[in-house]
Amino acid sequence: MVRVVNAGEIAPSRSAWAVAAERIRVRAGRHLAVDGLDLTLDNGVHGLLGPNGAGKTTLMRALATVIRPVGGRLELLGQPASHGGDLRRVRRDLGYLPQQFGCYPRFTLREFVEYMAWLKQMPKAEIPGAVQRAVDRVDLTEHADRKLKTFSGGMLRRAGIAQAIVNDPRLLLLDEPTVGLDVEQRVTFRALLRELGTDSCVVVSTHLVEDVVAACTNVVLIDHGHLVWQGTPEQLADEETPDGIGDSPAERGYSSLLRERRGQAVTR
Amino acid sequence: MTRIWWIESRRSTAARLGPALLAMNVLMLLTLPAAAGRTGRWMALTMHQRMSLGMLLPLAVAGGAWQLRRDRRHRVEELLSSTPRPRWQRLAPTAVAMATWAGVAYLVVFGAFAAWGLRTASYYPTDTVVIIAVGVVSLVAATWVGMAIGRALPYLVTAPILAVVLITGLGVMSVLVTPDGDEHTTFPRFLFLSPTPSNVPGDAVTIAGRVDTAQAVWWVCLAATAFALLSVVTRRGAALAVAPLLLGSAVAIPMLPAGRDGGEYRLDRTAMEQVCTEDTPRVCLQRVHAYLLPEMSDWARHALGLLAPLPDPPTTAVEWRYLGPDTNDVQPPDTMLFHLELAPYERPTQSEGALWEALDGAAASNGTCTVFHQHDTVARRLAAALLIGTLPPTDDGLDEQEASLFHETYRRLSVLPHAERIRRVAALRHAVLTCQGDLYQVLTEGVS
Amino acid sequence: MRWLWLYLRCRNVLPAVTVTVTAIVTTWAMWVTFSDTQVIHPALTALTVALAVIPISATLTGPTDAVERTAAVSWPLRRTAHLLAWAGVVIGLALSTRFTLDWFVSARYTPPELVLRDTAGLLGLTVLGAAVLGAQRAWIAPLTWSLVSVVLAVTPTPGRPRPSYQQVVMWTTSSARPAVVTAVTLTAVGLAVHALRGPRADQSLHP
Repeated sequence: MVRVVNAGEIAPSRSAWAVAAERIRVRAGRHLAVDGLDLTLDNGVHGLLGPNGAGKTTLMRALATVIRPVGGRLELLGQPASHGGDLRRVRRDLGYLPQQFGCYPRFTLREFVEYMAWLKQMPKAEIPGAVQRAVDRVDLTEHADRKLKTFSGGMLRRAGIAQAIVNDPRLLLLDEPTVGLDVEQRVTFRALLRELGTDSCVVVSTHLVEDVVAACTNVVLIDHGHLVWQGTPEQLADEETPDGIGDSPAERGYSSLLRERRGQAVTR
Repeated sequence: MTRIWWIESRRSTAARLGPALLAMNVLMLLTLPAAAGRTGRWMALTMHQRMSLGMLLPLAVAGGAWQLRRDRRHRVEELLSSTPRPRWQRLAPTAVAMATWAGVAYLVVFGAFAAWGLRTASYYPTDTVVIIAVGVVSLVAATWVGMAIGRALPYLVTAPILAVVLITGLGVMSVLVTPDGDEHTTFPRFLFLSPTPSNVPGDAVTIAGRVDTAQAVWWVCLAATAFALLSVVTRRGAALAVAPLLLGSAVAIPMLPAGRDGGEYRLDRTAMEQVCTEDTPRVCLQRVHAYLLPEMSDWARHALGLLAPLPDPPTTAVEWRYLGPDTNDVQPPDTMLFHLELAPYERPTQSEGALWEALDGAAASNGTCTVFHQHDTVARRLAAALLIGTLPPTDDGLDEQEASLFHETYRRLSVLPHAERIRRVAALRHAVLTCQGDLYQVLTEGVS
Repeated sequence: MRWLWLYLRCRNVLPAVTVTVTAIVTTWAMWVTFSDTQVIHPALTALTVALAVIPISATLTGPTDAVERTAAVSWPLRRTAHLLAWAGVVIGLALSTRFTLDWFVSARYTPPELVLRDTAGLLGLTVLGAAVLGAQRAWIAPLTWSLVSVVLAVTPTPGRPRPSYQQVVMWTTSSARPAVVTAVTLTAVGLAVHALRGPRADQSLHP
């Protein structure tokens, strides 16, 4: 069926980047967790690595529009997100799984994902189908009508992933998504990530370097609120030096980069 | 949004608040003491349903506050703040679910008690609908107020503290509004906004239209303010949210009548109309009690029979009617006035005292008589004793001196022959009706 | 002693006991100020005892519940001691007001049987609620029941004695036999369940 297409639909989006951050500063409480970070992310799966306290979670929260940066400029999906700006348009295309994923225990999985889909202002007619699809993609189909309080830790995490992907977001933010997943589930999850990364920007914050290597197209290394390094997983493995610690090339590359960065910070 | 409403109805506090309100409502209707019972009288049941709000409103407020703990307790706040739906749209299904089931619980209990006890009612006041509707509105408003408070203070202790504070507060308010013996003490009129009515003076009263309207306006505005407070995100918005309540108060409070005991009621003339038996001797009850005519006729005719030996005895038994705080029902000479005593859920059981009261002074009274003598009370009771033929069960209403006088005089009079006793009682009756003569002298004239 | 002190801190006993003491003392002080009689109204006594007993529900579990259950100590003994200590504080404080009769201003909680019965029964009900619903919701049953009981006690009756189911509903303010039976049952059942099983584990997903 032929339909009239208006110019707005075929006009190229103003910004090529899904995430464009320019020297943003974000506070976590009173502490300035992200201090002058520059980051541009396109479609693909981006792994966010960094030591504890580096500001990863704070950055994720800023990208999820939960908190606003106190300085710098942040653009998400072409919309300004640092001051002013209509956050609602961004949030409709956003999926977020927080590090501490809370949900209503009395709800069933289906009800909870449906509720989140409604909260993301999905068109009403699409919700049931989208919910079923999200639940299927995380392999929780047979548990869809059980209450969330009966779920194990890994199942809850997958439920969180389900609610994050239910609206087919263009920007998907997953903070520690593989906590509690067993080996098979993690492998399945990586396949899901790769699939999602083909037409949306997925940012995964994790400590598990092997997940990053297997699923991510891009690695972002953060330390003390600054961007340390950005590149592909192969390039990360190439960065290993003899005095790097780790059990795999990527881990050694990671620790080498951090050491180098900290050495620079000390001597500076 | 309907689907979310249905999910919230089953999964939020609404699923527990509804049954809790229902159970509490049933408990209140079963245990709140009744000045008059609930069987057969719509207005009595309606008033009791409103009185039970004294426990239901605090429960609703506590339930609302408890509900708003949910986001904080389960740490969903972070996830929710990344979603686009505005706050008031997010909370609307929950708020509506809580309100719906609170209202349903209230109406279902009312309906059940009405179906159980009111099948034989003889009078259906249309005011019932308005009065119950105001009750439902107040319950909804209370739930939303609880939610607004719970949003501001999402702590574990909020709900219990609210429950305790509100019950004590409502208790104190009802104490302020109940009579302390003096009908002319006044209290601030805004207390009439409380949905729990104070002591109902009878079965043939209804809530004044002004009060109904004022309450409806005020509680609707309170509900609007509470919902607005639930939804606002800025301080300025919160200040604006209070506007409906202020407006409502400015409109409603001047509408209220002056704060006197019983000021919120008006007489229901239709309920007060007399419905009488067809055959003689006639027994007349108020329309609201007309369903009791078959049972009351026997008792009333028995009482009239005791008066029959008198010359020119009363031929009609008429139920005493409440006509207002300072007025009394006019009693023509050929009628006997009696009080109808009703107990909770039981058929009327006229106690012995009712008979004594009806035959007091040989069922004679003169409303226009302003001359009283010292031993009038004793004399009137003696007349009743002589007609009934026994001593009264108690000496209530007589002080020690009068009681001993009564017993002594009765001893002297009861040995007189029957005809003489009747003559003296008739003379007392005549004295009352014509307002002439000291009643005690008339009764004991010539007896040593 | 060190263990006791750590236990009290872990369970937030001090804030809860403060509420208890405040409830008892405040009611006493308000009665002394505003009333002419020396005997505090039984309904108010019942309400105060309820407000004094209910804060125990906040002390029945701590954040490390799962770990505590694996400890080698005998928890039934300690839980019972916890209950009895709380009862002792409430009863002791309430009944000590009779020693204020010699003071310049005084009022007392009386009769002692009522205080005893209410404390025991409400404690039993609270810990029973904790065993069934969890410590977070343990306050619902005793508070609701006490408030209903107090409200019924202060509303006048139509001159005939209340039926026994109403006496059961009003058990905290009544001395009739159904009330006593209710109190004793609640105490016994609550104590047994609490000592043997303890409160239900926290059901929220992130305790």
